[in-house]
Amino acid sequence: MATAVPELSRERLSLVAGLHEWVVTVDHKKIGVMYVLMAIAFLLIGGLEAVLMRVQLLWPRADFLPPLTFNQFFTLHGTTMVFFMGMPILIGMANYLVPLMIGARDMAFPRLNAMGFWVTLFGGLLVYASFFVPGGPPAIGWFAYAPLTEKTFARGPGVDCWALGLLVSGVGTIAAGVNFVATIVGMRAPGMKLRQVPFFVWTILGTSIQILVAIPPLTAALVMLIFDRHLGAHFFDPQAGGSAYLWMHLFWFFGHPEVYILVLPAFGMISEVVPVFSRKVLFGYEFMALATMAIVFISLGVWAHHMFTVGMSRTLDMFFAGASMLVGIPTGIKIFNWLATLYGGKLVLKSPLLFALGFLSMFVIGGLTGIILACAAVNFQIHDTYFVVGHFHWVLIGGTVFGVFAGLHYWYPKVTGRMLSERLAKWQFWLLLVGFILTFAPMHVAGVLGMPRRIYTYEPGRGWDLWNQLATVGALIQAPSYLIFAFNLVWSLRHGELAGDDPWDAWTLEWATTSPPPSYNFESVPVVRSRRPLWDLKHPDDPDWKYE
Amino acid sequence: MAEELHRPEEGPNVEMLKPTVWPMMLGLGVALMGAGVATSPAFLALGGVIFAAALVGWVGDLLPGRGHAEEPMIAPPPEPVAARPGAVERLRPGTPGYRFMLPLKVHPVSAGVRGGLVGGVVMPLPAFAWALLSGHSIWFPVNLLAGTLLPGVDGTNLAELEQLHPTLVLIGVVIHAAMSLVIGLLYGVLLPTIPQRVVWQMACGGVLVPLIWTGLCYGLMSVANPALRANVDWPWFATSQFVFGLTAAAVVVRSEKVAVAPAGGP
Amino acid sequence: MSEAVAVGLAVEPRPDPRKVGMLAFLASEAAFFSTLVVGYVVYLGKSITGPTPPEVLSRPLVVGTTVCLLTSSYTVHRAERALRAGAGGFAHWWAATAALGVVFLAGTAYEWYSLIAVHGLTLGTNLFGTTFFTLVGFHAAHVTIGVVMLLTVLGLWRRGHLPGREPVAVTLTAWYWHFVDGVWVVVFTVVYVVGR
Repeated sequence: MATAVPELSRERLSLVAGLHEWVVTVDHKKIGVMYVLMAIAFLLIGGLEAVLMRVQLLWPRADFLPPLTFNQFFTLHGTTMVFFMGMPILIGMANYLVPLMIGARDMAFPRLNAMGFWVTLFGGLLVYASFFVPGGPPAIGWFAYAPLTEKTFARGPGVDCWALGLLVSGVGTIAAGVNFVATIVGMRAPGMKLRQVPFFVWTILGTSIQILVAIPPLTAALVMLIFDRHLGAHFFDPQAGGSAYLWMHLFWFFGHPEVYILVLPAFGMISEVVPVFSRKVLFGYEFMALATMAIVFISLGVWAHHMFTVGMSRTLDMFFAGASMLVGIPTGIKIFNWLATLYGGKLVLKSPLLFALGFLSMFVIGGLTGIILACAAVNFQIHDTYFVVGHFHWVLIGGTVFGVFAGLHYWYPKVTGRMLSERLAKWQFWLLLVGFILTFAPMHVAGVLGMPRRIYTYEPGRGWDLWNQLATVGALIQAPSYLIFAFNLVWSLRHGELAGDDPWDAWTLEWATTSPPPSYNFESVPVVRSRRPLWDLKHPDDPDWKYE
Repeated sequence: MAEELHRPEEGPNVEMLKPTVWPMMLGLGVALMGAGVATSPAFLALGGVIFAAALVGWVGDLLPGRGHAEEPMIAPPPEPVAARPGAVERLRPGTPGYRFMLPLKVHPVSAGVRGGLVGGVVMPLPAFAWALLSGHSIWFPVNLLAGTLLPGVDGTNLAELEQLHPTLVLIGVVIHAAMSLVIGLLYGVLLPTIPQRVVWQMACGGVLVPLIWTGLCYGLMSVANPALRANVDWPWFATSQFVFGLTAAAVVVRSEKVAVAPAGGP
Repeated sequence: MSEAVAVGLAVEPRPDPRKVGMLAFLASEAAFFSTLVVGYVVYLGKSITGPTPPEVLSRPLVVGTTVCLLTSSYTVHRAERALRAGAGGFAHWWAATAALGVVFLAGTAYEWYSLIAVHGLTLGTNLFGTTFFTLVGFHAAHVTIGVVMLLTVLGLWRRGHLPGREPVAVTLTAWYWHFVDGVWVVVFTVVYVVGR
């Protein structure tokens, strides 16, 4: 049967049979790979949109992109990066890794898993199908404030494509959340307690809980929007008593946990990479797990810090400012735990650790600008300016993207059996780091100088020119790093050094099987007695479980 | 769907799920229905048909014996894990180059709870003393404390605050007891972590924490209830915090130390 | 597992992943309905034009359908118990559950007919219509899905595809049905008691 053929020898099959094998697969590893490939494709598309927008902003009063196209691009860029790049790449990696890490043969619901991937992909295609409808793609921004999305202001079906695409892919995301919870709770290897799972699994559990709580409200809000547009309902129609305010609350009730959905798995990847590459156990595992759950629950109560300027009551402002700052505490605990893990370790400065160090240094800065924004009084001044754009890109690239790259460089040998080129990886890292800082640091300055976000051009003489030019140069430095990465992925598939089963001398179960793993993952699953089952096998005279 | 959980102990075969096209078709149906809402009813109908067909096919896969197949374990087995004894040395007491000191005995956490209770009993004394000396009734500080939680209690009805209000007293006592317990617990957890010398522990528990606490209260109240802040006599407030801190710290320091469980168990 | 026993480890029993998955799914459904309920409550009394809930909502009819739905939770429980005990009667109780669900749907259909045809209240009439039809409609859709699930399980069971005394398909369908019932209790309270 087809799935028994190892992935790398699939060229023996004809192209059609090969494709068919991927279309009908229920193997969590293949589904994971498809998720990641899809996410990388959307990353390149969304990145192209970003570069075009940056070029438009290079000079004041430039007319490289028409205003409508600019608005459509920032809408698509945000939507793509959050829904079709960020979540799929994390869900895909978790899909591949969680069953391997906990010693299971597959996810709890393999067919549901396949369905989740396909609806996510089709949802993305549906959003991009808006290029072919009258009026083109939506020009509403990724948070799509009502009543701009109502039929009166957005007549074409572009907004429908957007809303339905998110609705459909949201179904896939919820399916993935359900699947992860069931897998992690019910399918761990014999002996493996919940406090012994690799830390990445903890963060996926946290992310899944957030998905289950935060995505359905978005689904409901999108349904309301579609009812408004097609069935004449009045949810967000102020003329009939409806309120744009409801959309804001519903969207951000999803939107803020969403940023933790996007960053928690990256935390998990860092927590796998840092110990292995500093040759020390993760410092304060229990506190890290507690901090993760604290972030999960606190972040459900902070959404309205996106809405200080709409005029809530003073009490609400204070509550949401306080709650938002509170998230800084568990996050800070994590940062210190990673530092303590690194401290005194024998660092192996290979590409995964390089990206992890990039993550650590950049994410802290992003977190600090987040605290600035959480302060309601300051927020009144810089709301909806480029400061905000700079802040969340700093968190999402400095956090999620750096974390994901650390993870992809770490686990690529497991998935393909070959190592990524270290040389290319180092080029990618330094271009990304320099380009990233140069793109987004100036945005903070432009924001403080009053430059609003989402303007397609600006007047000369406001003092914004230099900052925009620096940002555009930064974007042009950053762009090749993603291409180098895509090239590295393809090139190393054939030319990379052979990896063997355990190239990093790691400790968790995914390294106990072959690279790439067979469809059934493990011939026999070892009984797990500690957090580092592979260490126990390697060091029978000094096993970990003695010390836990 | 739990059959894939079943792990045969021995034997070259493993039961795995068969590949199936229905999940993809179901997704396609859902997406086409979405596209139908956005564009034309034709897509809606097509999507509906595909969705229904996929659902039936999927349920068929779930029936016993339909969705699974025996799969031979033909892939090459993983490289045997080689034992690498002594590759990395653990930190143990005496390992050169590392600071590695752990106390063998510390104060128990329960001492903190006791400290909090005793401190909570002593703490109102300076508050009552202040109330009497400054010409207020003894209910005034209690009402102020309750006022930090209740809306509507502010500087406008000072005369009211001199009276006995059973509700306010009850709330005040509850706040006071809860805070005493929590902070006492904090002492029980924190004090054993700082250098085990009485001077340090008393300084931390009796001076540093009350100072921080007073500062916090001062800052928070100026945001939360500025009118109330004006009625608090802050030197006296600090005094009662010091009384609490010294008492609680003393109880913790005087408690009998217990042995720490060795790391990693016996 | 014998290996685990050999090294003297107690291997704790794991919860059935299918049940955990169903609970997780129901949690996400709860989040979905909470959003719709919040929408209903927020817009209560905000309609600019009539009709208003007290004018058009008929309580006797809804009390009747509510009783049907609550009874169906009992019948589905009896069906499970009958199957577990190995006694007959599973099919009858299970079919009765589906029948009560259909009666509930018929009641809702009648209510909607009178709202639309007699009172002229539709999704587009005012905010009350908008939120009412969305909330009650999504609940009715879930009841419909539940009836389809009940009938599917019944058909599979009759053909002997669900062996054993506690087939997980039966348990999960029953859980789903109880959940839909629970949602109705909330909807009933919000729409017909508090909001009327």
